[in-house]
Amino acid sequence: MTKQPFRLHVKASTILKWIIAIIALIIALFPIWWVFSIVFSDPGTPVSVNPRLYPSSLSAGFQNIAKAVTENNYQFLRAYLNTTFYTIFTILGVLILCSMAAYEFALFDFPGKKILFSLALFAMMIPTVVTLVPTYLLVAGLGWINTLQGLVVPGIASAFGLFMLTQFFQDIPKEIMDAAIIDGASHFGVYRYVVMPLSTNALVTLAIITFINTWGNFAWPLVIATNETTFTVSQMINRYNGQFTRASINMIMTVNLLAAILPLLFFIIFQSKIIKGISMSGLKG
Amino acid sequence: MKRYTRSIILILVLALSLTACAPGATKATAPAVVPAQTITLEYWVFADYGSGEAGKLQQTFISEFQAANPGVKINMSPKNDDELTAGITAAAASKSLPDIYMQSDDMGANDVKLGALVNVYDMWMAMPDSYRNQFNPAMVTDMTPTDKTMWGMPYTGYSSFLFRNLTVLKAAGIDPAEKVTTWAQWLEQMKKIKAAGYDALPNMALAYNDFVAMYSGVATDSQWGIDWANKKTNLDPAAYATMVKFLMDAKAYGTEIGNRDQAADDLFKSNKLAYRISGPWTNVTYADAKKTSGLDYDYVILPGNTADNPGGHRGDEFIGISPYSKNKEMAWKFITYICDEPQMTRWATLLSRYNSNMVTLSKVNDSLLQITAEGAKSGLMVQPPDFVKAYPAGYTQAILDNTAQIESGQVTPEDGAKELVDKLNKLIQENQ
Amino acid sequence: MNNWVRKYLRHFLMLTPFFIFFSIFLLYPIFKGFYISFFRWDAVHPAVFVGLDNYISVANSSYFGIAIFNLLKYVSITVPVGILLSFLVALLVDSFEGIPSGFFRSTYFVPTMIPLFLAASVWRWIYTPEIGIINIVLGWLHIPPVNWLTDPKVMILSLVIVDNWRSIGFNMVILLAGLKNIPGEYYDAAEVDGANKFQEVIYITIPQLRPVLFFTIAYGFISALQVFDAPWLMTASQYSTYGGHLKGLLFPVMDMMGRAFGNLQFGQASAYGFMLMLIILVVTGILFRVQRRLGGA
Repeated sequence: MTKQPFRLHVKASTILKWIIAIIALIIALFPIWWVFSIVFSDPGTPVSVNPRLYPSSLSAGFQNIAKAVTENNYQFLRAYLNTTFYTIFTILGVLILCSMAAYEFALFDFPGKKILFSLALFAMMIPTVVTLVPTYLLVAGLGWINTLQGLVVPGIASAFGLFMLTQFFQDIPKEIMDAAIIDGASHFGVYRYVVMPLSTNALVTLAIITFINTWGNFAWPLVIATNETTFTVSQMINRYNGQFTRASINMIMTVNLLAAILPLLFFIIFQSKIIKGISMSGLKG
Repeated sequence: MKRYTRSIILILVLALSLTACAPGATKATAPAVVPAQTITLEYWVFADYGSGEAGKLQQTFISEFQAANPGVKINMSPKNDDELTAGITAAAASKSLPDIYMQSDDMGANDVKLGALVNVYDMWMAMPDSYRNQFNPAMVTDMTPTDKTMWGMPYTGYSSFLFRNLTVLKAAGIDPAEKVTTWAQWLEQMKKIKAAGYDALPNMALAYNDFVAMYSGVATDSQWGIDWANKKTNLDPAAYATMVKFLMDAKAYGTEIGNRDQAADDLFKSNKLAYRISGPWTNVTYADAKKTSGLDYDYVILPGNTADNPGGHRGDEFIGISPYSKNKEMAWKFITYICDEPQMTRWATLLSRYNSNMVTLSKVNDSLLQITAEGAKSGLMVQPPDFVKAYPAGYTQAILDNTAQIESGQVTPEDGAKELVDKLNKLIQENQ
Repeated sequence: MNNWVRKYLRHFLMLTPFFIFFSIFLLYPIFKGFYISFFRWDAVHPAVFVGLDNYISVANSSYFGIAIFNLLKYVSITVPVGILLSFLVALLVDSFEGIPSGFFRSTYFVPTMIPLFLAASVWRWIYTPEIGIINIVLGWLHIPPVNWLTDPKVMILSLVIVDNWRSIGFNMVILLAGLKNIPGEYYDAAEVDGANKFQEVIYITIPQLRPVLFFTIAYGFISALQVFDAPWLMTASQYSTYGGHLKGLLFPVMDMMGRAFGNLQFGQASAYGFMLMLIILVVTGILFRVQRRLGGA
């Protein structure tokens, strides 16, 4: 095989593509970079005026981080643990419940289908503030205050998840389903062996979105997880956030950055699995 | 058919059991049946009182108390202001309030409405005279809106005063030692500062507490707050108009940036802004800046329209007991312990925080503490009268909106003041 | 009857887990909330029946009109702009292969992942009058500075920018998942037929993406109509004082929160919520009708 001389085929559209992509990258990442620079600067330096857009003191940053993490017996780490469990169980619950129901709404007909789907949709249109106290009283009545199930269970019947998966499941080709039925698969079997594997994209996306929403959720944990030992990460950062906060801006930014790092890492690691999953799912090409 | 039914049931059971069998780390430590000896008290504190050095000191108090009272365990949970408000409301609704909690006085009316506070008057009167005499009578009266009704222990307080950037003042040719006690004098200084190319005062018309700090310089206690008995506002239109005129004059020498914006803080630290109006908590960041970049600053009492009526707002915080607590006496014992002079002195020394214990205040020699106490003498409360009734929805917003309208020239200060008083009265009368 | 049961039982069994939890933890609180809207309730004492009073007093309150007006103005700008931009960004990321694709996908998603308080703080600094970054850049272009957060004329625009900055990543991730599901053969066939990129998008991508696009649009409207977090933080609102300067960023859900937790008027907050729900219902209904009509083609 003769070696081709190395020639760089670069189209104008590719260059334009990259320029736009990099501009968008800067717009997206700029605030995080700014915050990072604040965390790693000496306390007392101006933050929003003539901002120093590069870290100026690594040691100050690590001091800040150490202070935040060791606060009150490593409470921050315990909050990480609490929130991780909260998030993982919520994701599991949402994926299982919503996919089973979406399977029906997307691919089959049955009496009451329109009504039930409309009901689920309708639930998305009620602002949370209306249902917050009734849900809270219900959960309190069950004795679930300051418990993991109190945090998780009210959130797993997600109308958003149902709606989203229903739209995605509609793309499943009928032929593959029929083939499976001919091969003897049961109703549940088609769901488990045909629909779910073909929907990895949608399921992973829903998992990621649920992760983000749960990790950042603070209204619900605020009323349910009232003891410091059950605090979630969002409540930990609320100790520093707020209108009349007396904490220094460096600590505030440190804590918020710590809260953002874990989901970020999770997403980056998970990303590579997604790419692998997509190229292995037999649908494209 | 049987196959998938079983699978579904299996999944359901799995899901439920996963959630029910949570790892121990995430379960609270408050089982329903407690051995008679162990008492657990839930104690909610402000976020900044429960974090950092302050948090450690609170934990020390708790350990000392637990050592002196075996069988008692106190769990402290720090919460920020919004969380505290929403959390107390929700907890009151489910009757699961913490045994002891801190709250700021202006939220007290809501707490009373929720039935979330114990009337501690009898317990208070049962304390020996020597104990009760330690405390600031005015702050005690604040907690006692009606006869024989006391809603908790007054704990700490704050007031606002004027931070001055001495570098900027000197660059504008002003001698920092020169006393400024009236708005007229202050405007003169602001003029010089602007002429030298700096900004004097940030925008004080964007936040409600800033408004109170300024209005305090022209009004007295009787010209502020709500008169619930007669269903009208005490806001004095003439005083209000004077204040707005002053703010408009000051704006010409100042900046559009709000007093509470991070940018104002930064401008002060970068020696571009001469004044900032805030409370003792802001000192932390300026002290840091002093170390890092040599910020030269001091703090003085806020000038008022006339020399006898300085400006500045103030507020108090208190500690209350839940009516659902099963250990009210022990809760009271803890509260009186941390408010007692030795503990309060340690607290004040650490935080330079103004508080209700006069013995402590006389012992601790700290300029920040002193100026806070000074400011509290003439400062106006944020939403008086406390512990009576919550302000009607939109009341505070109406004041800010009106100031904005006057400043943008839509209406003259006098007409605007009249409109405002009418609007506030209407809100009060419509309030349920 | 037996036949009917046997025919549909499998479907209902699959639906049961979701609908059990849904009924208990979503439907029941909604009905309770609706019930409360006819009472005066402070969450603690027994509720007092007031009939339609809550609805009337909310509708008559001086801020109601402003809040609704702000809301409609906000939603009509932010959703179309947001969906368009998300779609374009999704196409952009999809056009990369391999590592750059994953990289851009992660990084464009970062704004959605940042705690909102952080994002709101940074944007407040960017919007600072006179010395914020945007105003400095405007200065270079000899444009007078704008008071992004205190001038009612532009406050909604400021919010739209922040909201889109945050949610483009969110919608992009969903649209990307949909894009990846489109079989490559369609594009290959189109290339053979001589179609250019633009035509490919119009005639293949959009039709194939219809269910997912519809979802992003519908959800976009539903959530934009309930906007609360971002304007609350950007205006440094509290339960007693909210809505920003001259109420430029006052929205219905903010008013509900203020009434509920600032004033302990949960009945009023509920009534307000259900009135908002009606608006959302109307908008969603229109969307569904449009979808059905387009879908017939």
